[in-house]
Amino acid sequence: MANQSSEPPPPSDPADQNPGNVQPTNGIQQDAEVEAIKQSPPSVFVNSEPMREEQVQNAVKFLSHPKVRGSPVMYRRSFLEKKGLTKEEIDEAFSRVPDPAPSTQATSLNQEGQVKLTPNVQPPASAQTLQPVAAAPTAAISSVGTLTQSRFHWYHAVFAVGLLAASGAGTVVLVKNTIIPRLKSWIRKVVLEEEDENVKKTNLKPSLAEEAAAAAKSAAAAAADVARTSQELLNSKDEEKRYLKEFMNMLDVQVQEMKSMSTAIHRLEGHKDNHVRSFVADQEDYRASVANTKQAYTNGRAEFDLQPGRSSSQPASAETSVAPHPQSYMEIMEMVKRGEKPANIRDINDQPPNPSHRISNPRMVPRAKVSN
Amino acid sequence: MPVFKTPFNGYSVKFSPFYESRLAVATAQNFGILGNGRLHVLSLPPAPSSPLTELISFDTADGIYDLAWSESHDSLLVAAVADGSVKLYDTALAPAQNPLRSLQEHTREVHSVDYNPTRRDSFITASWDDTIKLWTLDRPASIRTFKEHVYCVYSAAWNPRHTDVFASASGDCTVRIWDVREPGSTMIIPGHDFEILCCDWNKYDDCIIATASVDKSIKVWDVRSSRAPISVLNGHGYAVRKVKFSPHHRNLMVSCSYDMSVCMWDFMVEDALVGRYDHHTEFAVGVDLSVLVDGLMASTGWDELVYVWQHGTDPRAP
Repeated sequence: MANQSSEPPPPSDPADQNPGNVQPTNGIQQDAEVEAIKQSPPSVFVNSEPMREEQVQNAVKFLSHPKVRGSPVMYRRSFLEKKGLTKEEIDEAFSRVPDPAPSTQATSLNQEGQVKLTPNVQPPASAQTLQPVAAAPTAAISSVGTLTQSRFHWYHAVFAVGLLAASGAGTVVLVKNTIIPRLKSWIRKVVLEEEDENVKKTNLKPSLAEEAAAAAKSAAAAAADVARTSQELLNSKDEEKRYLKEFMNMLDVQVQEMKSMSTAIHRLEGHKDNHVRSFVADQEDYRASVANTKQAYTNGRAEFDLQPGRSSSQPASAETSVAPHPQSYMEIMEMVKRGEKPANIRDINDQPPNPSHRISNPRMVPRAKVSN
Repeated sequence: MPVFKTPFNGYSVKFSPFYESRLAVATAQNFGILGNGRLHVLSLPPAPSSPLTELISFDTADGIYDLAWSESHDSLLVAAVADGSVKLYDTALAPAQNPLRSLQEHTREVHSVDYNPTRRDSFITASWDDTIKLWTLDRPASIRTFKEHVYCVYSAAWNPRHTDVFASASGDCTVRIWDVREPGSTMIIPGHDFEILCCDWNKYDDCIIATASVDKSIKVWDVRSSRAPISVLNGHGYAVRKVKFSPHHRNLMVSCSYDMSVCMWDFMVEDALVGRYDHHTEFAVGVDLSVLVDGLMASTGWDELVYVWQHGTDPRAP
């Protein structure tokens, strides 16, 4: 503990104190520190630790999950707060997650894929044939992604790999089919036609070949990107699954609590007398065992020790048992649930008779508190 | 030891900061489910064997869940009522002239009220409508509403040293630290896995706060390193309803619980439970330690009894 001063600090009212007039007395130096903390604007009641990037990233993954996106914002914040994230970390995570668009993850992936492809791929006809081929596997992969993200993620991987291979093979085949006939036609033109056309064709050929090569490279790069993102998706699956599992566990715990409460209520309704009798019986047993011989005394001690042990082990198991409510409490709850009003309630007018009644001036000087 | 029998189920008991022998009790009919309420102002007799006497009482249409004595006026009381209103009473005036004010802003039950002990001009109320409101005696409307919790706020407590800082405990399982000069909460402590029913600041170390939860434990936290508690106090058999640090001893605190007991703890020692009182026969729901008399404590519960006794003695002794 930081503040180890054994005597209470000087009895003065901090509200009246001039913050500039702090006089540290001998031995109570820590109070000077406390006063110093009070004076400086950054108070001690804020999280001064730096933002944890890992926590923020986990939160971003959590918030990006479509199931979480469907839930009210309030509960998303509350969940992250319970995980121990600070306000700054939660705000940062919210700012990193794009605003919830009504579209699904597939559409966003499609858009990403197409945005990546279009600047890389140049317009020429050969490249245009490549573009739909490259886009199609991306679309297929992303749609497969939405279909399968809640289950069968390894099927997703198999599909992705297969489609990538197919697209790679397709691009190779298409490139071959486009380049070879063009090469052949170019050779024919070079042999048969004049030098001007030769010049033109030579200009065309490198550009065509270059563009085709560039298109193939970009298709390969896009395929590699898709492979990477799908890998990342796989990795993040675990994190999301964990968060979701915890979410679900919390809900399950709530449901179990309600179930146990309702069973306890049912039990109590039928067994109030037994409860009272057993309570009295326990006390007698304890007294009797303590009053007996040494052996029984140790038994009694053991019993007594067991009791706090039992009750203190219960919190460790994180199980809360509902306290047995009085019988009359249960009766009144039942009555109220049925819509009946208990008979003993009076109609009372508790409104101020004179709402503008002047509040009297203080008569006594407030007494100095010991802890001040 | 002085005892008082209330007609309704007890909910909260508080000693007056002005008079050593005065205390007030908030009660609600039918366990606070549905019914009237009554606020009793009691006086301790000169001899411990005599019963507590009632100086004055005020009736309300709905149950009273909590009360707070004013720190500026010796006869003023604020009551937190189950119909969402906050009522101001003057014990120097007759019941027919009371309440002085009825402030209706909360949309659900007001569960707790705490008066600022250092500024003495303001108080905060915590409600099941998920908000905390800041009020002063002279204004007819709240000054600020603090809305961040996502579930009922069960308790709000001013920091005993920092006039603008307070903490709130909620059913959303978090404790939030607030500064009235800031727009939102300055710290969030996800203290327990179950609802947190009460929080209280240490009167000698302004960075230490205790939380009482449905999970039967009390945790003691240092806000400077709030990821893990300094101490976890186990021993109650059911949910812990209230916790209060001692105004006289740095390490001591009292708690009351649905296990019908009132416990005294020293959170700095290994075996923290230093006292246990089993005088109540129903849920013990209210407990307080006197600021003016060292060791004087009071408790109330659903068994409609109010006990006042000195720590170390038996509350039920005649």
